[in-house]
Parts: sequence; C-alpha cells; structure tokens
Amino acid sequence: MPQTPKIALDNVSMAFGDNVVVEEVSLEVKEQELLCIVGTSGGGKTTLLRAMAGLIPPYRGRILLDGEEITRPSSSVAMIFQHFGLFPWKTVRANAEYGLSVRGRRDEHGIVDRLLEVMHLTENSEHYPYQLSGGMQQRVGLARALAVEPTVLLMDEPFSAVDALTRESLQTELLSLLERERGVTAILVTHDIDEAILLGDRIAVLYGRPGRLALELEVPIERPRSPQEIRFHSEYAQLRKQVWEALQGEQREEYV
Amino acid sequence: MKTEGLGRKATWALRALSVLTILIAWELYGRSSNPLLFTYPTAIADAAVDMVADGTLVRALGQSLSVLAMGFAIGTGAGIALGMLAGRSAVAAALLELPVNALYATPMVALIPVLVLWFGFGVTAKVVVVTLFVVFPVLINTMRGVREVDQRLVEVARTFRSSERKLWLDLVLPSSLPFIVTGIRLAIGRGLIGIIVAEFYTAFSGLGYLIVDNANTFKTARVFVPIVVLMALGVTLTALLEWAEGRIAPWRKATR
Repeated sequence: MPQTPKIALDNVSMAFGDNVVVEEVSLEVKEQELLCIVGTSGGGKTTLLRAMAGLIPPYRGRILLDGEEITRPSSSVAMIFQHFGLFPWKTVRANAEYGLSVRGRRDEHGIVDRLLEVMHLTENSEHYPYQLSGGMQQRVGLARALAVEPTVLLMDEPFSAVDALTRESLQTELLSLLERERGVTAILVTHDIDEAILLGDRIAVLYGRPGRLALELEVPIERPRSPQEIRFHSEYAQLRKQVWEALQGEQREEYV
Repeated sequence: MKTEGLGRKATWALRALSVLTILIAWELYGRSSNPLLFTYPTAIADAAVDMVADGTLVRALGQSLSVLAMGFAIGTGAGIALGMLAGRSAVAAALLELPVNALYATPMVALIPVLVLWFGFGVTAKVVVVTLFVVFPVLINTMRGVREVDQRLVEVARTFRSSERKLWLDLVLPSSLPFIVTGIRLAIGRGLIGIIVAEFYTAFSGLGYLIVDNANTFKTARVFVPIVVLMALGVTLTALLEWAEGRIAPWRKATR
C-alpha cells in the first residue's frame, strides 16, 4: 500500500475574486520531507502556502493533510512568517510560549526553555521584540512555531527580511533543527534558488501569471549540508541552472 | 519626543526661565493695577494659604474631584466598551457612527439646561455632564485603535487557532492601548471643562463655586486659586497617565 502523503495538493487553483493567481497545481509532500517552493514575487506562492495553513480556501481543487481536506487552521501545523509576526507587547519568552498559551497547554517539559536555549535567546528572554535584531526576532518566530510540536512547518520567505550573513546562520540553524526535530514535514516558500537547494529535499518551481507548476526536482545532495560547502558540490551548478531556467520561462513568455 | 540639540539640563533651565519670566512680569504688572480687577502671583499664594487654612479650598476640591472621578470612570468605561464593540462589529459601528459623531460635534454646554430638567441640580446632573464630556474622545479613539489592529498579527493568531477571547487579550487590547490612552488624554482636558461648567450651571459647588463666588465679591486673588488648582490638576493627571502608560505598556518605549 502506498504511503499517504503528509500533504497533497490536488489540482489547486487560487484566486482573489476572479483574478486567478495560481492555476492547477498538484503536489505531494512526503512525511518528513522538506519541500521548497520557488517562484518570483507575485507568483502566488505565498497565497498557496496560506491555503495550506487553512487561512484561505482554494478557489478550485483540494488540499489534504494526512488524507483529510484542510478547511481551517490545524493544530498540527505551525507557520513562520516573513514579517516575523511577533507580538510587540510580549517578551521573547511570552512570544515563544504563545502557541502553548492559546491552546491552554502548560509547558510541562520545559520545551520553551529548551528552544530558547537552542536559539541562543535565553539571555534575551525578558526582552521585547523591538530590542532584538531581525535575525533574533525570526529565531523567536521559529521557537514559537516549534514549541507547539507541529508535524508540519510552513515557512513563508522566513529569511528574506534579514541581511545576508544572518540569513546564512539562520539557514544553518534551521538545518540542524530539522535534523534534530525528526518527524517534522516542512514547506518553505522562497524566491532564493540557493536557499531552496540548501534546504530542500525537493524543489517545486512556480512560474507564470497565474503561477503554474513548472518544475519539480529532487535535490540529490546528501545531508548534513552547509551554506559554505554546498556551492562546491558537483551537482550544485546543474541544479541551480535547471531551477533558474524554469524561473526564466516566465520572463521569456512575458517579454519576447 | 526629543528636543533637538539641547541637553536635558539646558531644556529644564529654559523651561524654568520661561515660567519665572512670566511670573515676575505678572507680579510687577499686577501690583501696579487695581486689585479688584487684576491680581498677582504672591497675592494668589497668600489667598491660597488662607483658603487652605479655612477649609474652603479642600472642601471644594473634594466635591469637584469626587464628581470628576465618577464621571470619568463612567465616561471612560463606557467609551472603551462601546469603542471596542464598534471597532470589532460592523453592525455596532454602523449603529453608533452617526449619533456619536453628532453628539461629539455638539457643544455639550448647550445640553446642560436639558440635563438639569432631567437630572436636577444635584450630583447626578454634574456626573452626567462630566460623563458626556469624557465619553466621546475615548469612544472614538478606542474604535480607531481596534480597527487598526495589525491584520498580519490577526493571521498569526488564526494559524495558532486562537479563540476570540484570547485574540482580544493577546492582540486587540494591547494594540489599541495607545489609542485609548490618547482618548483619555483628550478626556482629561474635556473632563476638567465639564466639571467647571457643571458647577457653574447646576447647583453651585466645588471649585466652580469658588470661582463664581469670589468673582462676584471681587476677591480677585481668591478667584485665581481654584484656577491654578485646575491647571495643576490637568498637568498632574496627564503626567499620571503617562506614568501609568509606561508601566502598563513598557514595549511602547520603542516608539517614543
């Protein structure tokens, strides 16, 4: 019997009113896989992710989580936002505990403490977001998401609002976190090809307006990976070229 | 707010200088004019000592403050409650909008004769007057605050499956707090007007009575004592509000 995919998109279209932004995308994400969805800005990839989070319904088609249709946010899904989405009036600790407090759960196993430590936030736990750098704010976002022990992690351009150096260290941390937190299936939306190759088990490229699935490919680079070394891997250049060309398809269509 | 190019000490020195200059000029001019028509700071200070000694000032202040406190409590309470309702529910907003705007634009003094008809000359009428002066700025600002809640954070709350009650506690209340404070700051000024107007036009009492009574008997220095007290009251209440805001909302330091 074939394994039920953790998440399945079945001919999903997304639209704002009559303006279709994503057209007939079908995708499957296996348990514990990390899928990167790459697309240019305005290609509907964030919209697609919000639908997977149960925030908005698909225009057509179905999205399944563990074989069941997603109609509203699920307690086994957590999301990371490009804008971090921290509450300015909550301290780092209170922000990290937010998901647990919403669910009326006590932090019995000290999971928040552990995550704050892993994220190097222990010393800042009583600080407010405005006192933190962007990179640290996103670490709080990560801690908040992982604190609810999700089985699915949805990440919307999580590192695009921080500087390049911080981005590399956050990517490294995410890699080691996901290796540690086995059992998490993750979908990351990005416009950064290098990020997709570094992080993804698989890459799906959306292109066009409305966005369609242009390419799906495995990333055959063994883990652990690191941002510094992966560029020298023999497969790297070829992968990058493939994704790049899939993304270029859009521009050819528009400008030729 | 920062005063550009001036140190703290220099700023305070200039403030003291301006107040001192006004007081000295007033003193010099006042001493040379008719004491029935005008007065000067030291005469006011003497009168204040007398009025504290004979108990009139303390009694009047007590009367005014108790009415002010009641009217303020009812006005801000109702203003915040209705403002939240109107900010969150389109139906409530549509119902409240026109009457609220109409009443806010009406000079409340014009209503006092009617209020006297309905509520008599006693404490009730005075409390109603103060309430009416206070309620609208609080209501309107609260409503605006609730409406301007960051929709991205509402989405964060939804992904964590927050209940409506938790959403209010975690998000709506704290994010509208600065607006509510602005409303209360306006309400302090209006409340002080309200109390004096009420004391002029209903049964004489409190600081308003002291002003009218002493003016009618040409004790000009004594007229100014309650006026100075009102001034001090306004400044103190506003400072108190700022202090309270700093305590309740430490994250706001960032935006100041």
